Amino acid sequence: MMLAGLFLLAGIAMAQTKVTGTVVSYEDNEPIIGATIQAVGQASIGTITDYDGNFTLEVPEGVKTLKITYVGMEPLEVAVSTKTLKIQLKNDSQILDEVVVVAYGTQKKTSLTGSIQEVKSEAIEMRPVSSVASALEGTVSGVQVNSTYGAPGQDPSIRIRGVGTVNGSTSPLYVLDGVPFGGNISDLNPQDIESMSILKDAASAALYGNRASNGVILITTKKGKQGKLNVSLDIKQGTYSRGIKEYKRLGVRDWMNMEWQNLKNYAMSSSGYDLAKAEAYANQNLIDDRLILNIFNKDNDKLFENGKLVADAQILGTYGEDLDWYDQAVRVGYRQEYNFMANGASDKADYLISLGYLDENGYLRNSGFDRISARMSANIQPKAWFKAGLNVSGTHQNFTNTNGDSSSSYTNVFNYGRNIAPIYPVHLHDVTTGDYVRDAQGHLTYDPGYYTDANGNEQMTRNQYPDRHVIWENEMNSDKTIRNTLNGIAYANLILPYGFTFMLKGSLNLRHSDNTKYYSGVIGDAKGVNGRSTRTNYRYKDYNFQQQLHWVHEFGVHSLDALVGHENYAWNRNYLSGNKYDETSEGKVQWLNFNTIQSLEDFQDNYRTESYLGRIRYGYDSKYNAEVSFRRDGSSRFSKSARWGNFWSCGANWVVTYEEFMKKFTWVDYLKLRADYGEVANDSGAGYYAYMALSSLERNNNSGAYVISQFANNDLLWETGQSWGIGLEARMFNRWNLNIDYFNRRNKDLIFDVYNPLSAGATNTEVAESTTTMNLGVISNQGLEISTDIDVFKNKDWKINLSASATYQTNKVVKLPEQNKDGIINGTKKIVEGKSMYMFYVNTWEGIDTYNGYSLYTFDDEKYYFEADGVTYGNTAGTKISGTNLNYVVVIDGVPYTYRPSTYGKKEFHGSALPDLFGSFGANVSWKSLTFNALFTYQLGGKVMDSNYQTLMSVSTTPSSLHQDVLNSWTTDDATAEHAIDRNGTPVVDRGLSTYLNAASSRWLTSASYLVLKNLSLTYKLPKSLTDKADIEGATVSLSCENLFTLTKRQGLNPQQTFNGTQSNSLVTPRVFSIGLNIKF
Amino acid sequence: MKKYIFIVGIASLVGLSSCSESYLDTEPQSSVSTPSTVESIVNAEHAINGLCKIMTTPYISQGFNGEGTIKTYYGNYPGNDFQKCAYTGYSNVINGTYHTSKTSVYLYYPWFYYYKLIGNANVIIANIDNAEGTNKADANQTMRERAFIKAQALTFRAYAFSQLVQLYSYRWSDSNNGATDGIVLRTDESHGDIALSTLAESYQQIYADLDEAIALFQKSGMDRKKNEFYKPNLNVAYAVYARAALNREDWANAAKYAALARAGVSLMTNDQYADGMHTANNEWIWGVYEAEDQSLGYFAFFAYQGSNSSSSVCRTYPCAISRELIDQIPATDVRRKLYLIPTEAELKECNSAGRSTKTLYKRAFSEYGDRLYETSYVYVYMQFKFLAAFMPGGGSFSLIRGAEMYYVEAEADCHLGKDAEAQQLLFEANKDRDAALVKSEKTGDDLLAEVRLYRRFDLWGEGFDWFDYKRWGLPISRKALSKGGSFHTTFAKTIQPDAENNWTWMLPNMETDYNELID
Repeated sequence: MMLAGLFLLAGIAMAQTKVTGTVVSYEDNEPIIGATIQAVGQASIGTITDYDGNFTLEVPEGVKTLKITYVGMEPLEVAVSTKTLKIQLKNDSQILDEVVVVAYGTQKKTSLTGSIQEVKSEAIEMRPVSSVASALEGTVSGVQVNSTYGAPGQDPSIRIRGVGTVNGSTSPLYVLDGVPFGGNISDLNPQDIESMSILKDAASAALYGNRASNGVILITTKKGKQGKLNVSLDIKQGTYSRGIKEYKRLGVRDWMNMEWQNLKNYAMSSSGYDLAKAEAYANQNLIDDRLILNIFNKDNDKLFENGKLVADAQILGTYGEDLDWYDQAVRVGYRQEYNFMANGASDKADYLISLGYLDENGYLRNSGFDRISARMSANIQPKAWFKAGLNVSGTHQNFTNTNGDSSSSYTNVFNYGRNIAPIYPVHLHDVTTGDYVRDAQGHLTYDPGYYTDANGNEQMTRNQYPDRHVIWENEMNSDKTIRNTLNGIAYANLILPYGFTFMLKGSLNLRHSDNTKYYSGVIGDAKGVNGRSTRTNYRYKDYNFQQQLHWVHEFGVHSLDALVGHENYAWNRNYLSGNKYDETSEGKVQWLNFNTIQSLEDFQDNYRTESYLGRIRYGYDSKYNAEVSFRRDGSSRFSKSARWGNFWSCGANWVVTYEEFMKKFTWVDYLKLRADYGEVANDSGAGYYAYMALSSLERNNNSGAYVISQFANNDLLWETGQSWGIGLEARMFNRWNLNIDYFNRRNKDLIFDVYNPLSAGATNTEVAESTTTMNLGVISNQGLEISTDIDVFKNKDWKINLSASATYQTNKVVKLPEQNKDGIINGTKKIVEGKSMYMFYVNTWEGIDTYNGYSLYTFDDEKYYFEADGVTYGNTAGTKISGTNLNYVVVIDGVPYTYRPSTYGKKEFHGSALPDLFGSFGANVSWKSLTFNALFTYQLGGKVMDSNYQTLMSVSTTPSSLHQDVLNSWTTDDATAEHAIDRNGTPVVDRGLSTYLNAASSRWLTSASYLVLKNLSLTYKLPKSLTDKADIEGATVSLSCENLFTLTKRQGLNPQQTFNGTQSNSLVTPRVFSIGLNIKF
Repeated sequence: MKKYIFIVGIASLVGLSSCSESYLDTEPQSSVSTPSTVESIVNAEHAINGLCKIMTTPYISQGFNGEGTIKTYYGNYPGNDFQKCAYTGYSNVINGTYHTSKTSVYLYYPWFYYYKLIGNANVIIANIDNAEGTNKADANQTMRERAFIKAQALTFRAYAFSQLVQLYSYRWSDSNNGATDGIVLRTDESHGDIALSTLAESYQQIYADLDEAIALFQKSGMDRKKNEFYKPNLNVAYAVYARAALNREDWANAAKYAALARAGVSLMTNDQYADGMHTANNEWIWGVYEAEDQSLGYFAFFAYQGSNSSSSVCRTYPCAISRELIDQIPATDVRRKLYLIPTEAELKECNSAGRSTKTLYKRAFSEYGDRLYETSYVYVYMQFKFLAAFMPGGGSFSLIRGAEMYYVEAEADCHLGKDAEAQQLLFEANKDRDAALVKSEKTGDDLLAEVRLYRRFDLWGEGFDWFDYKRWGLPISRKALSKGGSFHTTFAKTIQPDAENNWTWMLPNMETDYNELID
């Protein structure tokens, strides 16, 4: 009763005025849909314009003014009137003056002096990606993103403005809501992200000191928004499939012919048979000695005539349908994602809750990822001088892993499936009929490489991967990781007099990752030990604590803003791992089921930093802006004497369009020039205790054992990056945006694991290397980044926007220390002064010798010499080649060559792995409520050492699949009487010599240029008439596809696999189709 | 009020500003500082145990296990009397064609492994004289403890050097009295460039290390603990000396030190000989330790050589002795029982590679069932001498055993013209194995050939094969099964002493690329 009375009172008190009107654009008079009309002084009263730009609003007495706002338009205030209002909103020429998240704060975009690019939630939400970092590909210039590893839940690798390190991590520093983030990016639900700021230059990143030289990515999560309660539900459903085709490999018949050639040639070269005897040998022994399995309906020695598989040889029984291993290992996976979010805010508090569930089944049968995530964020301001907030998120993630990056592993589908000879079936067949062998229940059985014959004897069915079976093993084995994360950030601001604000901020990030691998005792690696279970457990804890004092002051046209702060960061990891074997009950994966302990160990690592920082920003009339920042950083990775470093930056800009003299150039809407310089560092190239001389703790006969694992270097320092840049930002004709940036970045004191002679004693057990970690050398990266977009056409219904970006980048090693002046050989590359760090340095393949079909390589005429027909070739100060070793060199047309590249070959430079140009282009077309978006990414130039192709072109001691190009091989029919060179030839197929014929050389370097249709999407906003009926605020339907196609020089090649131009048998790019529905309540 | 807040704010900023000085000092948990490993005798004993552990550690990729790999890939596979049946996938190793492939793992592995041993030994040798004793008050005891550990480290280093010269330098007889290239003699804690020494200088260093080790062992008056067969003692130093001298064709020293090395060592009983070669006994002068709780899994020595091993490389490709060798050994020798010798009929049933699936297969499982894995393939002349102690293929194995020292002395005696002594040694080494054995009355080259024959047979599979043939300058001559031998056609080859770079591995790129003093 009392309540009713109160309402009545309120009703009487509030006499209403009805205001109606239309909001249109000043520029084209088109109606503006969704503009906000709000009563000034009473924030809760407001409405938005409808499809025709019309609105109606009841305003209470006392409200005199309405405020009309729309994104990208200048806000306008109008007096309340009973007449129908016609309101024109002007395009906001200061559209770029949004607020951007920067290091330790925010800043107006116009006042930025460094190169910062921002990616907003709109660019993220539509993408069906599990890691938010994937959304950066193609959207930010100067940033390379490789997100082609086709296992669900994996983070892409990212490089910002080239590579300024050799040993160190090349990943940027991630900062989540102002706190360095030690977790995995896939711990974050992309839907929770409000924006990502990419700090590309040293000036922007300098406040992150010795972890900033790879650039910094600031991730800001969503907060509660002023206004009423916003609730949304987002659902995506889709497929997950293989996005790159396989290399072109030989089919069964061609392959058989090449194998016959192989054996014949081998008989000639290794046993000295003549042609006839060698052919007879190949006819006789191809199956018995090499292939073992004969899948044809001819006797083993009746398969070949004149070097060709006889025409009437037919594949027996069901062998034919059972030879494609990929077919049976790859599937179309399913992807589903659900997100729910609610947020709201009042004057004194805001809140947000978010829930997400993602389930991705990969394109390999045994790969998957699911994630449940939740986030809660709340901010309060109970008093004008006090503000505080808490942002907590947690995830539970399940990975069903697949072995996809261990290039030579038998459980890696892309190794086994690619390289298994095309005659070996997945399932067991009766060798005489070729029909499937079924078990007692009538099921097919897998072929382990042998069968048991009637006499109880094992008979081999394949001379490749004995006892290994990728499909069967992956079915029997399991490899699962559970990751739980909890991340909390809390802060309190004291808003003090005279423009001071004091902030305390702390974060705690806990992660726990628990992996259980089970290897079956039935087939595969653990068969010999009757099954094995490995448990690997990582427990991470990192925390950060910050104190910041900010001061903001404005007087006249001057604005000043200063910051001093202190910060410390601690990272701790506990690693626990063990493995047991000999299972009691088949298929039970946990340790209880195993009887023998093979290993059990755990240990911790700690990493800490402490920093003091400061910054001053100054602005004059918004026209001129300048800033200086400083940070003093200490890192636990270095010795006491070398631990602390100072980093700083400065920058300035000039907003030209604010000048009087620019007023006459009305077509220039906005023009800004900026320049910056900064010094930052990277300590990640050094191990956690990199300066110490260390011996590892081992055990032998139950007693301790020490083995040297690291050499000392007390002077070890971080790598310093010095960079400067200039930039131009412009908007013209009110439709064309252009950004140009030049940067020049030098990284000095590079941290290298410098090779000692191996006789200094290896510091590693997995590779034969003796290294000392040292600072040496200077590397420089410079480049030009251009990004632009233009509204080609715009009217009430249509909007067509085209965009493109390109980055031209060079890399050069400027200086190496005295002891390494001759360069440092690093695998297939060599680091020398004056050249790119990624220059391939390998033997030069010259062609083939048509006399014998052997590969010819450039002879090392500096280290060796030999005499032939009275002439001396090479350097007589070097080593003389004599005796049988003379067989490894040959002279053709007066030029010496060698057949043995690793012995007498000369290594030379053969181009860089880095691209000349990379970037993206795209189109955004909208018509009424329908929006179409296409994004392409590309790279031009650069080389890849295609070792996968090399393997497919080589024949080894056991059979394996071959590339179609093997068909061009030299045969004895092509033999010339004299030594001669064919520069485009393919060497003879001979398993005894293949190591030399197909050695790592310039022959395998392939163009790394590519074009990828990264994303294609179509969205449709349902008409309001429909959503009103359903009592919802809005609904959007979308269709999206990631990685629709990839164009490369050679089918099968994935140039995006690594940044350094290597290739391995690795999971290829996934293609994701997704259909989405977003509902706002 | 606001002023108060201001003051509190500033105060807390200052108060919370800095962390304690030790905040940035972090210590690893999985390792210790290297200098501390030689600070005291107690720690240095662990460093010596580290040297032993280096000999039994998984390296690089499957198959590389420290010392066992030297036996498998360098001694056995490329030898004259050993066959990894039908293992054609390894034909390049078996036929010795990698000697000039400077980037091949087979070329650089021994260099990598032995210099790891040397580098660790050098730290001990350089610093042990300052180590704190177990009883600080007793200076004499401390001196003796230091001497013992230094002697052990010196023995390791000498052993590693002597193995390296056999692989990476010409055989002594081709060296023009040691004038050809030797190895890198790194004897301090340096990590930089060092020029190659000559072969003669290399042997001088080996001798010098062993002279010092012997003197220190004697000075220490200490011995290893009873179960520590994997650590060096005085006998080991003598034995390494005898081997090095034999390789250097320094016959007098070879004979002298071989005799010293076997003092107090008794030969195995026949039962022990047949026990599988995986458990230490009185005859083992030095060995390598491996147990189930530190198993190397598929990396281990017996996972390549145990007839009962469950590894596929053992089950599918068993190890076999050459028919030509075993045919020269009298039927009364009990060691012949450790090989599957076929009858003519059984031989005929086999396929061209020597695999049996019929009578011989059945006989193998009935007579040697406990020495075979249930799904093992059966080949003629396959061995049952080496058995894994645990699966998939683990167990300790000997590096130097007493019998070898008999053969070293006998061989040296032959060269010294001491035929009677050689005959006696040969007889002593074999008399328990063959009840019908009579002492050889051969002399000169015939006697030398007989000493070599029994050495080959007795030590078969223990990693001597290729090394012996290189040292002797004899060709490897393997006959195919169809030609009266027992080898797969792929391995049926004659390899002359001057072929394949004189059986000498070139220096790896990992050395020459980073050592400016070597071309």
